[in-house]
Amino acid sequence: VTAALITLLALTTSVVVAHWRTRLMTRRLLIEEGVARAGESLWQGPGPGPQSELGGALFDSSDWAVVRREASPPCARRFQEERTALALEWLRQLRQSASSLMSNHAKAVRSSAALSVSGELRLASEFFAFQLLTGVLYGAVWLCGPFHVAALAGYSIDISRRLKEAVEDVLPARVSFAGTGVTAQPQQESRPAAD
Amino acid sequence: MAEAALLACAVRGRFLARYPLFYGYLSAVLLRSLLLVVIYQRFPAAYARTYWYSQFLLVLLGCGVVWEIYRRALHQYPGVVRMAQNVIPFLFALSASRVIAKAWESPKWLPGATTLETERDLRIVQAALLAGLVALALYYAVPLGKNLKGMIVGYGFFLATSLVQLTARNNLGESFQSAWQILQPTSYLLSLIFWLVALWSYAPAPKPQHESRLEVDYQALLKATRRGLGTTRTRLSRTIGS
Repeated sequence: VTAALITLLALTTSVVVAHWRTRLMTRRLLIEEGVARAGESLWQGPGPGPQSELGGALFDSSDWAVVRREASPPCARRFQEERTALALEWLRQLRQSASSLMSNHAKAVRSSAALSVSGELRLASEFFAFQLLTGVLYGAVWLCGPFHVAALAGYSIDISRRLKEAVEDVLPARVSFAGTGVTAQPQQESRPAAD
Repeated sequence: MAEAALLACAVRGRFLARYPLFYGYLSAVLLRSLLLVVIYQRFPAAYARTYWYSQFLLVLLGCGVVWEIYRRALHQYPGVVRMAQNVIPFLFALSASRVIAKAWESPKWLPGATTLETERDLRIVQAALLAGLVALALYYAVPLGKNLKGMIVGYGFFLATSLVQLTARNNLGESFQSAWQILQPTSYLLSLIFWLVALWSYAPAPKPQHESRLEVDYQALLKATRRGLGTTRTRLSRTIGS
């Protein structure tokens, strides 16, 4: 029990220190490059949080393919470090925008007698799932860099799309997935709503 | 001494009646300590039995502290109260069902094989309830005030250290006894210091301002938040999946 506790404590400390060190390095790199001043948001544009176009450019590996082919290894490494730092900052601010959305919601509804327990629980579960997903992505970007993560995510999205198509082929015309409120309709591409 | 100082602060500041269950608990702890000293000197044979019976009484009165925190922290926020009325009984059922099941199987109607184990099981129920309350207060950003924060930190610390110590004593047996005799009063003294700092003067939770408008708009707000979260999620999936 003592050994397990010590291991757990050591692991937690390592993760916290690594996270803190990465944050510090990211901010220093961005300030060094003149991309941002201390405490300043990196992104400008309508609405809260970073924009998807910018995120798309950060995770896009086409630049990386050119740099890796044409530039010297130190230059390529520097390029990857900077992209990783920007991608981590983008993810962090996306998490922050979701947290601030939830915080505003919680403050607004705490005095409402009309509060729906099931609605709140569903919202909280969606929020925690999102936080978990972005947390995993943050760790993956930190470990492998944004380009590999984007490729992996693209692959998994492709697999889930194929799986959905396969399910639609097998199941009847209109099926409601229990508890999700999602309905499967064959021959109809489901696309996310525009921002 | 520290309990007496806490009670004296409350009497001097005239806020004893504001937290009756908390100060009731403290008075019981103080009385019990005095009573145990007398029993130890005059009737040493009855000491162990008195200690354990009074300990269970204190565990029950400790539930009053959790109830006090719930009542004082959330009563100004009907939405959070509604949430707590659903979440807290669930947590209680979850943690207490184990205790009840163990007591049902026991010939003495006690959940633990030993008195230590029984106390630990009851402390787990309290800790689960307190954790649920704190999670709700943090999630809904309920302002607590210095007094309630101190009560939560002090009692939370006391529960956490008690759980660790009781588990260690139960598993390690007599070899942990000497360490326990130092650790138990030290951790309780630390809790008393937290309480003394936080309850030196009356500092209630701040009253909510401009929050009474939202009765009809709740569903619209819930939809808007879910839509906002969905948009953020879409942004992420578009970015990573592009």
